[in-house]
Amino acid sequence: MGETTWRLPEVRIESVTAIAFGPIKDQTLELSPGLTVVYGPNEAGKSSWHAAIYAGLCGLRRSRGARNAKDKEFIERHQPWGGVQWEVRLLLKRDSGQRLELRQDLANLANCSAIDADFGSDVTAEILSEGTPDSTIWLGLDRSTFPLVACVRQADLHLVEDDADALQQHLERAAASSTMDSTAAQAIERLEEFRKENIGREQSNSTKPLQMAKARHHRVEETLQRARRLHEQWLGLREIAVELRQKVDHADNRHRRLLAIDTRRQADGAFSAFERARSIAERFPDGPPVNVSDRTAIAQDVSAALSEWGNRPTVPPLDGESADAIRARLDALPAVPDGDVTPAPEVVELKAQFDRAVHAVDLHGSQRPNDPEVATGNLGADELRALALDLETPVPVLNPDLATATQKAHDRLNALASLGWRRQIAGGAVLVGAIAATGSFALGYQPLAVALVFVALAAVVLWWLWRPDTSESRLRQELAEIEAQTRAEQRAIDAAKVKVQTARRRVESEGLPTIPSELRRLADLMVVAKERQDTFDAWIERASMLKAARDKAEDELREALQARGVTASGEVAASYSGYVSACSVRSKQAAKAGTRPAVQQQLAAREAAEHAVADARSRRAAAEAMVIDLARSLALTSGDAEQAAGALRSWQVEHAESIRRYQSEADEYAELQALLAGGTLQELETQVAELRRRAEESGIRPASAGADEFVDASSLEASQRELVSVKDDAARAEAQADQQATSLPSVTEAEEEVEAAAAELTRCRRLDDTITETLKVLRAAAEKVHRDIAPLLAASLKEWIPMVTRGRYRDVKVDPRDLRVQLLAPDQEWRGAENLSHGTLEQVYLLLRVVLTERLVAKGESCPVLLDDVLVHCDRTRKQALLDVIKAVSTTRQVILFTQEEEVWRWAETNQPPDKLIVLPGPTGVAVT
Amino acid sequence: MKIAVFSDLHLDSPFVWAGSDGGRKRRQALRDTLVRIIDLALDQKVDAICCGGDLFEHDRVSPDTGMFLKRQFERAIDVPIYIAPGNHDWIGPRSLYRQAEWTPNVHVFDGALRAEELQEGITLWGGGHQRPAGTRNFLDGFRVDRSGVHLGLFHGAVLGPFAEEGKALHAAFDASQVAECGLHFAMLGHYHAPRDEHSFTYPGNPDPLTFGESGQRGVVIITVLSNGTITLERHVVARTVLHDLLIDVTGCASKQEVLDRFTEELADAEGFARIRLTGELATTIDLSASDLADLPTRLSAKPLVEFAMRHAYDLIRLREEPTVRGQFVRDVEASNLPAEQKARVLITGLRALDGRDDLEVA
Repeated sequence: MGETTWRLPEVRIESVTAIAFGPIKDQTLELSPGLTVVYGPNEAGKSSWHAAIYAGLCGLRRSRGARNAKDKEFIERHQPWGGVQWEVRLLLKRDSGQRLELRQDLANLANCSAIDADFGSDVTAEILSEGTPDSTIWLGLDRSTFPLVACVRQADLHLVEDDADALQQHLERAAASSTMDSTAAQAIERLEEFRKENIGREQSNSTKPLQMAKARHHRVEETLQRARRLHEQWLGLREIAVELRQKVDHADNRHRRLLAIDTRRQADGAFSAFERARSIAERFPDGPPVNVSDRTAIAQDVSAALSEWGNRPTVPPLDGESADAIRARLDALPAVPDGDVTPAPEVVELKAQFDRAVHAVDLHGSQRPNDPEVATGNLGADELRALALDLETPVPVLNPDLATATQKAHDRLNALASLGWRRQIAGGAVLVGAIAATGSFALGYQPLAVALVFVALAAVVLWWLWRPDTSESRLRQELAEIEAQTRAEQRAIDAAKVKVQTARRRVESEGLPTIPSELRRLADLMVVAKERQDTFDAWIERASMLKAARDKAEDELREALQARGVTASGEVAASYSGYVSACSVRSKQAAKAGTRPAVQQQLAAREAAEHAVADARSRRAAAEAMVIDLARSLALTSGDAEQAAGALRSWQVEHAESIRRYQSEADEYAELQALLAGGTLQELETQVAELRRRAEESGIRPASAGADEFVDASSLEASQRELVSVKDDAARAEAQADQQATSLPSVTEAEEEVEAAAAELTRCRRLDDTITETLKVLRAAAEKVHRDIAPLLAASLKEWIPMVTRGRYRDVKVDPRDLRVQLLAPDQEWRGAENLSHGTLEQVYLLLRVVLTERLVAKGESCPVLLDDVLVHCDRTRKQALLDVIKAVSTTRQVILFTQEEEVWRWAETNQPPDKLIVLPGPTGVAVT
Repeated sequence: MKIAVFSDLHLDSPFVWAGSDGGRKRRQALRDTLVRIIDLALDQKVDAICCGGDLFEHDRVSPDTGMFLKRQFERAIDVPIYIAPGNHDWIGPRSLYRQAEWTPNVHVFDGALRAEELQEGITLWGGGHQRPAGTRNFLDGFRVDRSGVHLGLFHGAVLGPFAEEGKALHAAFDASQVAECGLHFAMLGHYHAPRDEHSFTYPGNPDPLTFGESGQRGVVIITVLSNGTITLERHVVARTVLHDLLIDVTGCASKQEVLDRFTEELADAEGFARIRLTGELATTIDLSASDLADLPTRLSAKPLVEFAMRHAYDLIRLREEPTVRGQFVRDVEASNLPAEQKARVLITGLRALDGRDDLEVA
């Protein structure tokens, strides 16, 4: 072994004794505080010792029920091959120096114990877990997590070899929990997935539980509201039905009361009828009364005779003129005249019209105008006035300025003609001078050329000075205009002279004066004469018209008189007077003839009076004879009419009394028959008794309140109708309420549904809150732990890596986000662990396991490490490297390495002490070094 | 004379805890109980039956409840039945009391206390609630106006040490008022817990309405002597049993063991049951309420399961663990979450870290 400069582990297993465990019995392994190599071939018991150490440290869980699968497997594999005893004892030394003896009686777990080896005190209770002592509790572990933390299997290394990411995942799992079941990231992912599937979001389109619970709650809440509303409606309908039922009761009571009152009335009436019938029957014990109707004819004769007697007439007195005298006077009266008795109004009106026409003619004749004067000459007033105007026409004088202007124009034309030829000369001189000067200059006669230039210039000056002030055409136009004006004025003078001379000749030809004023006076006189002639002509025309009207009125009056039978051939006025006189005569005759009807009436009245007297006398005699004869026939009186009439009246009174008496008896008997209605008095009595019994049953007493209420058929019918009506209403209301009841949802069940839905919604929301809060805390915890653990892992690895890699890798860093490990390679490049060689990766893994063991156990404790054939599949180089790691690790903690390899055994032999090599025997014996 | 007194039957009451089918069975059980109350009254040959109110629930009354009550009261046609409506079956224009055509033996009190002579020298003073809340003390300003023995019947909450926790104080009165107003004894409704005192009795709800009810609830047969001596005799009429069971899951290594214990505990149980799981549940067991609710039993409805057990996480050790799990435990315990949510978050997180899928903690 190498140097021992490293500190020894402070917690270690000193020995383990298998009293009985699997194939092992009563054997003990003494373990080194550093490295112990347990070597043995296959079937030598390495696994049993490994399990025994575990059982000694942790024991088995003690439970009331069935064991779990792991426990079952452990029991099946490691129960002793013989005997009932199954026990492991383990001596443990803690960091504090305390030495403990753990006794794990696996066959009887109640006997397990932990005893202080120095003081003998029982410390079982300190490490009791699930009923048995578990010493890993001191390490902050338990029997389930200890194997995960402290035991490294060969398969673990294989896993790292096969999957480069396994190292990092292992780190994450280890950082997450000591059970290393999953990483924090996996736990978070699991929580999120759980929330997604089992809660979901509160979105309308979500089909997850939370939204479904919310929708269901909303739905059932609406159902409940509807159920309550319908329930309330149903109660309302029931209330209406009850009210109507009460109305039915009221109407029924009312109807029954009226029926009772009616029954009482009927009973009372029937009793009265019975009493009446019995009373009548008592008066007619022998049957109906005797009829007296056989004397009726005589009574009628008496009545007629007395009537005649009583109505006999009185004879009136007669005086005054007799009928014959009146008749003579009537014959003497004149007949009614023909023709008008008064002038006919239309004739009178025509006479008045005629009189007005005559008066108009006379009045017009008195207004005749004077005869007009007759006008002379051939000229009218207007012509005379026109001639006067022509005679007065003025004759104009020619303007003298026109002659002067004409002369001036001619003079200027003449002057213009003389200037023309002087300018032509000057122009020619200019031209000649210019040509000559040019020629002289060309021939070299300079002075001459200059002189010629001066001559030409002088000619130019003259040509300029002789320029005309105006053109010839303009002067000629001005002259034409002046001459035209002169001709126009001369024509006006000639026309005025002709007009005056013509008028003068016309006036003179008519012999009239040529003085215009005289001519105008004559014109005025002609106008006055014309007006007078017009007035006279109008009077003549009016006079003619009035005469025609008068003649017409005369003709009409004449025709009217002739129509009345008057001869009107002469003066019509006289004829009219004759007509009026004739009317007066006829009027007087008509007055006399008009008295005839009155005389005739007087005659008729007198003749009637005389006839009535005769008739009265005849009727009185007949009446007297009738009463006397009838009285005699009845043997009542003698021949005096007055006495006979008196006797007849007495007889008549007596007869009427007997008739009345019979009628009364007959009526009573008929009433009796009506009361009995075909039955007997006894039967009627029975009916009355029945009615009275029913009336008594009705409860209505004659003296009770309302008993005197008026009841008749109509009131009974009305109450019956009301009863039927409210019964119908009540039945309808009941039916409506019952109909609603058939489909009435249960409020109670709806409330239960709402409560259940609310509970489910609450559950979902509570679960959501829980998951949300869990995620929040878990994320924070993961972040914090990773941040803490990363530098620790890096520092621990950095301590080991240079040594175990023989200086190849000198630095390590761990990413706090995902705990990814990187090593600093010789080329100064950071290389991820997944990129390392298998050998280096296994070394790093083993180191990390050790570091994590230190990290995961309780502070102040060092946990033993059990390695189970971790080198079996390594080549020599890798094996040596790992052994170097193990050796290094064992300087800080107890390491127990189980191996079947001779190479490891030989390596171990070279390292003793302080390390220890234990060689397990084969089936033949035990060898311990 | 003998009087049968009951109250607070609460026909048509909801039973949320019993589930849909269970609720219907519970409501039928209430009706069955009324049948037995009438049977008992007839067997005991009582002179009157008194109901202290809350016979049914007005807001939930079903269409045939009126006819059911009428038929039952009709069976006791020769026994006067006096009903004092309570705050749940208050009398009003739409009340069942006004709508049913009761037989002549049924008398429903309405409003202030009113006298009914039970027999010569014994007078019953009854009153009824006319609204669901706000009914005043029936005894305020009341005084008997005649001689003899006087009994009271109404629905009200007695104040003071007798008051029942959690109950609204409808028509609340003081116990001393019973004697002060001249009543010899008051027959009351409202409190569901049975109570017999010198001056009054609460018969209690005759058929279970919820779990946790105790005491001899049912019908009180009251014997009244002419000298005012009153004796009480209680009769239980309910057939339904509500089991309140505790099952300790400590030591169960698997879910099957928990289920076996559950089945064993409920082997002979009938009616309805509320199961509280206590003790310590192994962390490896994935147990949900539905696992237990669906087990075959002789119960009338699925049992009501309450998880009151601890989960067997060794939190003392876990909080020392230098891992994410340990940090998580420490953070949760240090948080300000309510205790219940803290426990749920803790278990949920630990299960997630254990790689488990049963993340809902009851």
